[in-house]
Amino acid sequence: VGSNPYPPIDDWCVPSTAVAATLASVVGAGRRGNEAGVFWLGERESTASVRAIISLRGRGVLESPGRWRVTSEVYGVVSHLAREIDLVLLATAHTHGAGVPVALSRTDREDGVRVPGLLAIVIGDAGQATVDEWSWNVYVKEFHTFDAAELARRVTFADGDITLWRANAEGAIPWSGAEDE
Amino acid sequence: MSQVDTKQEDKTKAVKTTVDYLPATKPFKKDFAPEMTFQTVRTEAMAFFKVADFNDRDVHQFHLEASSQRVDYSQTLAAYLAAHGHGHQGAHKLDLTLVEQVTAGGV
Repeated sequence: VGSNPYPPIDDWCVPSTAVAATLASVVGAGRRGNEAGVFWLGERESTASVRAIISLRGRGVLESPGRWRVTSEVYGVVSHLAREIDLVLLATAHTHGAGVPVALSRTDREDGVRVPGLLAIVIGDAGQATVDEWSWNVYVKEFHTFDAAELARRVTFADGDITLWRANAEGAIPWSGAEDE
Repeated sequence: MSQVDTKQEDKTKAVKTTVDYLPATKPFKKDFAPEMTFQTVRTEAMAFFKVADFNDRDVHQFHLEASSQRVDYSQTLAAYLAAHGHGHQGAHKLDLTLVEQVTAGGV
């Protein structure tokens, strides 16, 4: 049982559809003044590929003006789904409201999933910010924020197939990707 | 083999245990003696996944779930399997999930 459960990641491949689905999932809550977020699942290799977007809405998902939080029950549901579709958690992405700094807050740093190579993305302006304005952070021994050059070097946006899911404490079901469904 | 012999074998046969953790590419797998408790499994799984309970402003704790239900850490694996019947996950096999719970206001 001694092998590394977190193989190192050099860079990430993010399908454009993943970005669109992420924004579709969070923008409605943003309009209501709440933070919201999604999980990105994928294949963890030296080039990690995003393969599924998990829209987190409903029981066990707290969306509020200053805080987005997911209960352990929701993590459990997503864990079962990830096992079924043979993917792992690569990233969490959540919004900050208009006027709130587009950077990990102290709460984000403390409550985020802290395993090597995990991305923690902050989407500014309540989900209205374009992807080049997002804050990209990777956990090493603490969270490290990409500058523009590192983002360009380590994150590639490309075509690619993804699956879409909606999950909460009650379970996970396929999701159309439609905004505010 | 008599019924008594079969029951005695059930009590001594190792429990093939698998623990998944959402960000990890590999599960934790180990055969545990049936008299081991879930606390032992939790401790070893957390070491494998390199995670630990901690407090900051909140309380961060890792928990094991079986079939979406949190397990009782004082319970032995044998007692759990007996309580859930041989059809539950197989007589000597356990599939568990490690999840983190954050409770507000730790400090």
